[in-house]
Amino acid sequence: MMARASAGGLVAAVLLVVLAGALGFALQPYGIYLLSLWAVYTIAAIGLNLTLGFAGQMSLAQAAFVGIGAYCTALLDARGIPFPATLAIAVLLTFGVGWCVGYPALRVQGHYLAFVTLGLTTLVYLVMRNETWLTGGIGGVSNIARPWPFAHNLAYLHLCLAALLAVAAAMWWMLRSPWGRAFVALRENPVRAMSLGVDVRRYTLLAFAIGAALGGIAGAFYAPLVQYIEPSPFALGFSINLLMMVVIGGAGYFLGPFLGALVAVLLPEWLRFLQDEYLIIYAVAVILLLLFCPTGLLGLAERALARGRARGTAKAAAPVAAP
Amino acid sequence: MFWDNLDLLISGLATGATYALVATGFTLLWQTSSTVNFAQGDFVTLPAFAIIALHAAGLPLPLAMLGGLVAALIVLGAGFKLALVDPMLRHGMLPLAIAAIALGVAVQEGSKAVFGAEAFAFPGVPGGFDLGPLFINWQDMVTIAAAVVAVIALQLFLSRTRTGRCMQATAQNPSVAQILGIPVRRMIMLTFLLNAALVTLAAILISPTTLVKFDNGSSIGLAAFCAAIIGGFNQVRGAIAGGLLLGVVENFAATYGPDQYRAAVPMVLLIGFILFRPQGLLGRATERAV
Amino acid sequence: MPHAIRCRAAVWPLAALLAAAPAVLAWADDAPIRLADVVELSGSGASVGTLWRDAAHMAADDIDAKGGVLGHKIEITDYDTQTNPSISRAVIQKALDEHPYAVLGPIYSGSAKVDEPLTKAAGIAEFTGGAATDLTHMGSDFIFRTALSAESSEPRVARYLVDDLHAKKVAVLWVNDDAGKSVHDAIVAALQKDGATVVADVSSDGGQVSFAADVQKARRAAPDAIFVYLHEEENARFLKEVRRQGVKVPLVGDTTLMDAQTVKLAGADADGVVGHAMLTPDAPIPAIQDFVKRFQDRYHIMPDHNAIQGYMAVWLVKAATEKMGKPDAAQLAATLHGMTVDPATEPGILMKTTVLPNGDVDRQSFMVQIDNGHAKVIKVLPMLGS
Repeated sequence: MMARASAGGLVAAVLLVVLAGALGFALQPYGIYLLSLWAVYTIAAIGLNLTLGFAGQMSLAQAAFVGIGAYCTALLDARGIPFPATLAIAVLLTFGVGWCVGYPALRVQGHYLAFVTLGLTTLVYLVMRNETWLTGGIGGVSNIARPWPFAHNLAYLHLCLAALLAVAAAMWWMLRSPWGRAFVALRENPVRAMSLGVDVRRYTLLAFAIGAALGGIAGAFYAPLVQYIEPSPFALGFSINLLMMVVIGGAGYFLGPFLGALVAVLLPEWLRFLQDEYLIIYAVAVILLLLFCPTGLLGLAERALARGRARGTAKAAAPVAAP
Repeated sequence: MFWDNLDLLISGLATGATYALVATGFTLLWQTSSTVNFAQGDFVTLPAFAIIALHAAGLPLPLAMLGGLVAALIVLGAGFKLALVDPMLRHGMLPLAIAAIALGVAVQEGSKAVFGAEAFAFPGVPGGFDLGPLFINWQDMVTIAAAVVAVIALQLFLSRTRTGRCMQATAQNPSVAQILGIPVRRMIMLTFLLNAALVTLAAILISPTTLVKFDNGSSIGLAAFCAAIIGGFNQVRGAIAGGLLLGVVENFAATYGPDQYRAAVPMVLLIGFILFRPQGLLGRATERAV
Repeated sequence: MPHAIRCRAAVWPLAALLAAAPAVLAWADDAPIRLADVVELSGSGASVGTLWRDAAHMAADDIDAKGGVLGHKIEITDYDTQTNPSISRAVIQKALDEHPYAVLGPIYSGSAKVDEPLTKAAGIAEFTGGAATDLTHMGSDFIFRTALSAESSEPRVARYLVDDLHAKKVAVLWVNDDAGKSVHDAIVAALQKDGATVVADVSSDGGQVSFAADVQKARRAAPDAIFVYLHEEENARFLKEVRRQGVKVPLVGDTTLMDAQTVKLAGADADGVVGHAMLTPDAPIPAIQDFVKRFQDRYHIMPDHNAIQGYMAVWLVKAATEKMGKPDAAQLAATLHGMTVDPATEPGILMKTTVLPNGDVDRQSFMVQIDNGHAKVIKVLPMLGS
């Protein structure tokens, strides 16, 4: 299989982010907002990709982690705590929650993490909705400030993109370190990885907790972007949406979340003429992709590329083999 | 007080019976083909809509129900297996589970596009009888009875008939079953058809109470997953115990507990069972092959 | 990319020019009044948003047919919030990028709250259908309601419960979402103010199947009346359960309890329920009856209060613009504050409407009773300011 965190992958990620940053100068606030949303979704999807694509565990709690990160930022901001500190707290908190949830859930194999995370999403939503004294309840938190000096739309886009770049670079480095290679080994063949001495449970748990923390980072940037949060965007639907992003882009591909989030942000825009129906198209596309190419759009591209290359080699080889 | 609690118990059992029916099919699919059907709740919505549409088109209700059953067998039974499960299982369980989630979204949005976002009434059994100071709906009694009978019949079928035993063998170990000359593929197909019949039955029993709406599947599906896990994922009869227990606990928790957190009850039960008794209420730890 | 060039926008005026050259020549320098309609066209709010949108377009056509606003045609562009605040934040930005004259929507309070700071910063009037109490408490001079807030509706319901039904103990059953919470907080406060006691306070979740526990909790508290605010399907399940448990006390609600959809689903179980309706297609007002009929002829669906709100919002823009004498987006909000529009001079407004200084609205409202499957207005409640 291809090295899924190749140098080319990082270069492509950097190019994408720089392109998005440059595009910001040419766009109206609406386009800038969509690009910022893309950056935030991508960070959350990168986290989920680690859990799903590399550790092979299905999590339905990514929305909850984004929510925890978002509420953390919004509530601490209201108490005058500066953004870098709220970001750090959001990361630690989501990592901690991820660890505490994953630890017992990963004891039992099978699809149990999916169900435990499903439950977690509901529970987190209920706390956000019911504990009005803490979270503002169903009325949400308004007027969330953007960190100085990034109040302007374009500046905040660039901050989100910088965060995305940092997250992507860290993920790339992690996947290439010996430690990260264990992840890949785990994904490819858990039994073999186990026999080679990889502590499967510990690595899976770590992948899940880091994935959760990335959700927290996404949330920390989401709240000041939208400047208003309430519980409903962090319910199960968003978890499913993030899951589909990872799958569409290509689970286990370094660039997969970038692509998947792009599709998720732009598809309703492209299919606007369909109004209500774009979600059907989206869901059916996910099913078809999983049917014919479970490795997503990037897997499809890789396959096409390999076929083209094979044809090229065959042509080049033909005269030599002919005599 | 006694009568109040009895009332809670009976209506909890009625709700729980509907959970149990949906959960039974869910468990069945999981056992025989490792399919975690996240779209199970939405599978209930489809036959309900089909029956409403056929009935509205002028078919008498029993015929409309039969039509709904046939449609379910074709689409949710054979179609689901051949078009989605068969080609996808070779990629492992994870892609299939995600595809099922996407299928659920597609079913919900599709039925909204066709039938709109409004709820529809569904004909049920009218009337009821007095039990002391209580009034008991016939509909609830029919639901409980039908669910219990259906699950017992299924259990007998699985353990007493040749086909049933072949299905069980397939569930326990498909490769060994193959070697023993059991038509494994046909047995798995039978499971999917059984599931389609179960969700149709569930649709007929639930819909008078829940009404028919495009997004009903979300809450029914969630309750069914919880019921299946509480009962024991590898036990068909576990699903009925899990469903009934869930329905009753929900009622008592909502009455005596903080109502703002009533939706947490199934989730706490779910997580609690996974952590402390993953084999479920009726399951045995040794039976867990997965 | 999102920043696509809108060809349509360029083509339409051209086509209009060619088609109606003489008419256009007369008002050649009159640009249309462009309204941005930012509503829930997909997601859980789709049915509500679609009715609002259709009615707004109908209002624009009605106005245009009578010569427009001071000769300007009205042009409405629709944007879909997908019933999701973060998308709403995106599309309001898109709408404002195109410098609309005013914004119609959104209807869900969460989406409206996200948009409010942006319309405030842009200085563009926004007409929301949101019911959440705090929408008009957030310090924006540019937010306007199209319907009574829960804060002004529920005191009327409380007054009915206490004065007309002589209820001293009331059980409150409500759905725990943004609309339900606003109504709950307002009715509880209003009941306490009027000297009644809330003896049971039971929240439920959207999509809840069994109401056995809810009804029992209410029944055990032995109330004189039950106040209910749930969605239509849950209303139907609740009503069925109330009848099963043999609860005989009056059932009073707001808007949804006597809604046509509730009555359709609950059948005979809905008979006898009473509720407050800030706007209703059943209102015994000829202008509303005429609107309902024309809406049904055009869209083949029954309009609800959201449709009436979308319709009124456009007429409110017209009335304020004509008061100013010229379309002036910057002055629109200031003109609206404190303004009263009377159907005697502006029939399209359907009912006499006063815009209060904070953007809330004051209007008559109705007590409606379901009798044999039909909604009947039993009482017309006066405006607060009268």
